[in-house]
Amino acid sequence: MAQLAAREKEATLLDLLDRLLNKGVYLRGDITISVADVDLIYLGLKVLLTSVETMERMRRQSWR
Amino acid sequence: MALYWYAIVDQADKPVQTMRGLEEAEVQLVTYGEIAAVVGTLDEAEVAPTPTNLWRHEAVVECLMGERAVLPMRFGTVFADETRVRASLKAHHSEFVASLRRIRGRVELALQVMWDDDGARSKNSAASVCTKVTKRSLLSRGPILGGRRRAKGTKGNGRAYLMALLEEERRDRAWRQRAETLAERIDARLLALAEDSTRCLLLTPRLLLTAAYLIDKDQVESFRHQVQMLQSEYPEMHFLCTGPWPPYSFVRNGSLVETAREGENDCA
Repeated sequence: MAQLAAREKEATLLDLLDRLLNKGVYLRGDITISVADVDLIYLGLKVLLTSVETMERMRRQSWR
Repeated sequence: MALYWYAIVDQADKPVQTMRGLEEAEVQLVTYGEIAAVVGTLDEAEVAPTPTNLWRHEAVVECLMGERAVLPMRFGTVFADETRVRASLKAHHSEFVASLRRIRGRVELALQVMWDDDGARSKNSAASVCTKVTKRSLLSRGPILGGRRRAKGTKGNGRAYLMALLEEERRDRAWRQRAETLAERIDARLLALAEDSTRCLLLTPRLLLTAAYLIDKDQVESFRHQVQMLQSEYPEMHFLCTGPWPPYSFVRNGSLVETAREGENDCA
């Protein structure tokens, strides 16, 4: 049960990152955000992929 | 001093409930006609995507979701002043009104389906395909992430190398086809309960399906029940459903909002 909760939590964090960094209404403001736009989008993707793989590895390790 | 922009909402004449966002600033409305921008003052010139700031942004948007139709902004949208915010609302007024109408009374549910297919384990390449599916059949394809090709068990023999490459290609294609069939079957079951969806096939070799669904608020339980049923029908896979989220994945109607980047897609 605790395993499941941790998995759900990580999935939620990934989903949050993906949404806030890659989705939503995108308008250029008059002040740029602190991380360059390109980096931010790339970062979003990298974080997502890396974290999903990590999550998957954790899941496989816990399946006995 | 600047304004951090959280979301676009309807019911501009209804005062926003008291809530604090980044830098503990109280949120305010900048109105234009029947729509409004939800903003908060910002002393810092830059906003870092730290977990704290991300959750603060999300908390404001989710709080708004309880009382009105909300189009969430991407994190980090900062404008110099009210005048510029209002000008932006004016410039995209009809687009925002249409998008608000589309998501009104609806929420987003996210789905990840992981599979442990034999093929997935040996995959050294992943061709991910992302589509945004609408019931009005507006399809757009995202970029395909390529991988490396490596033919196994060949040493210095040109013909053997090519044959092995062809064989691997054939197996790869069969594997991908199997993935696509499965993903489509799963997606179809859930799309039946949704107004709209986006989906990504094989974002990684083990991530069979990554999808988001736009659901009527009163359909959330039925949707979750369907996911549970699918889990029991496919016990070898793992289904992860999170949400309800504000409709980050469904803010566009198919036309572009200002300066969306070329090559950017909605899934990845």
